[in-house]
Amino acid sequence: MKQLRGNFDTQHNTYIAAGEPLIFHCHHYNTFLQATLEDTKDYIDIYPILVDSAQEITYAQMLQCFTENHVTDIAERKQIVEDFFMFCGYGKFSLENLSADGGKVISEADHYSYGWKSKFGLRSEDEPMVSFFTRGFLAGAMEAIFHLPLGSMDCKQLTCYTKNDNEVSFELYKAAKSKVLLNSPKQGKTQNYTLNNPHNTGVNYLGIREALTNMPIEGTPSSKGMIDAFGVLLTRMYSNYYCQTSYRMLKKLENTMGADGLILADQLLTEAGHVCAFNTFGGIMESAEWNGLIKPMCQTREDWVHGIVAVVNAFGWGFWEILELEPAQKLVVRVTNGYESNSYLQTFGKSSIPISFLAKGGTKGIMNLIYNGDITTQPSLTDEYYAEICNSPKAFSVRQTKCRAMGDNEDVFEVYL
Amino acid sequence: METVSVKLVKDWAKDNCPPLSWQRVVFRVLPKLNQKGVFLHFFEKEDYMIQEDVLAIINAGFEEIFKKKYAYTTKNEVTVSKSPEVKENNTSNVLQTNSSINQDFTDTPVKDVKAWVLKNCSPTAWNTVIMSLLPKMRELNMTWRNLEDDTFILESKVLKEIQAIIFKIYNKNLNITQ
Repeated sequence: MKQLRGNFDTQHNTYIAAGEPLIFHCHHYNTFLQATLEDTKDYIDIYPILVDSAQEITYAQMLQCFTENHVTDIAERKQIVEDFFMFCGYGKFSLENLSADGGKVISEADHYSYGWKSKFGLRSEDEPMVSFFTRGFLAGAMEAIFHLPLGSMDCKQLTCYTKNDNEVSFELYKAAKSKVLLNSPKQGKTQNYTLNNPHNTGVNYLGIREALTNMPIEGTPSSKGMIDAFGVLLTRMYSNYYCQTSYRMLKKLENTMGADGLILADQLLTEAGHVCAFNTFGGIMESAEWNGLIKPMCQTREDWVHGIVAVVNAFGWGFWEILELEPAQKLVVRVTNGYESNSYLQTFGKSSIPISFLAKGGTKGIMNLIYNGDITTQPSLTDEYYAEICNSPKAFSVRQTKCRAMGDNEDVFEVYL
Repeated sequence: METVSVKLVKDWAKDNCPPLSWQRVVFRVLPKLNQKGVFLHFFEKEDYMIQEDVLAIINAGFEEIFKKKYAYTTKNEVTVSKSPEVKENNTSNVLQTNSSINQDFTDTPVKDVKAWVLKNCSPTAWNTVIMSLLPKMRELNMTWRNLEDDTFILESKVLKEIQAIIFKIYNKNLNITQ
């Protein structure tokens, strides 16, 4: 059986699988971001955005995969989709009973359903089930498998862990009215670059990137397509999914609520990145891999900052470089080929506000973990510890000082006290 | 009509809800606030007084997202009110009322605990236990895969967590001492 895996592209510092950039993100980020987007449900039609964005991306990717590899057999196409879903940590399902007319899909595990319940608990009766991403993924993949037009299929969720069901299941069916969906932005407006080792630290960025990008961080049949690593559930998620859902929400928000809405959205989308940094970066800095590979390179606390920035260079988030680090005071980071700007520029063109929310929250999280809290002492990364860090007088703030989507040549972030 | 300052509500949220909870709530109810003639910049002044009807909108947001609401008994006294009809599904916040909260358990293999749970709670209860334990896995120094390994030995501290979960959800006391 052919497998869709993709490769790490060192010219762009990202994973590319059949034309789609993939990046690592944890269930804390995935679910917090979705919760923030869902907070607009009373005034923005957010649910179709969450489903359709996944449908567009998966359709484009799978179609490219089948075409490039000359895969025409339906059974083989189904296997490739099942395997890729599992590999990326999205969960595990069987498409065996699916025909061109649709059918039922039962999932043994589903990242969003599992992750949401573990982070936020059950959803209330009046809230829909949580796996919007999987719904879109299934609809888009099915269209590609059966060579149906994009937007011709729909998918509803039948059961969900967040509704206290014992399984997650979906039903695919022909849309009563075809949806008008768009092409994926794919790699977007990219920048070529080369990662170099900085001179002011013993941390070997290139070595760390090489080691991490070759680690088998993937879902397997025995893990039910979950990637349980560094204390979080990881995914190799489509960067375009985050970008399309977030920026489409922003556009609608701006039209509906004006500037007030944008200010809040900025804070909350940045917070999603900060939550992600706390849990994923924190989990990594307490892991056996960190202790074995990176900690021996760290002589000072500043080396810890370099160490985690070096790790980020293996996440697919573009090139992260420290321009300035003033211990316990200030951090300035430049991101080249950041996935947020790539996608935004391709889809929407110029922006009037900085839009790299994840990178903003991430850089702030690094300083808070190392100089506000003390990750070197291996604290438990609990909700209480997170609140303590956020509410501390030593908590850091962050601003994006340069943004490619606003016309700059690079994305730059300044974290300060 | 009762009023309360923005500062009081923000401080209460800081003490009782996760970081950025004030922003999430305002984000959710923003159109309703605008309809009342209240805009975001009003809240930048911490001494801005929130009217009762606006507080009701904000509280509805807190209840929807965090199952909590701000309440006052006098103008200066703040109390926390929890919605009684909603169960919090966060194991770290379980309110234990059963008598076995401090019970120590003998180390027991997964197989026996799972069998007891399935027999006494529900056919799907073991999955519920696994998922409810996920946020505590790191603290308990285990992974969820351990709970799918029949031979894995569950220590007393893990069994206490399981006891808390099944008491909260199924109102049962874990009895595996025999």
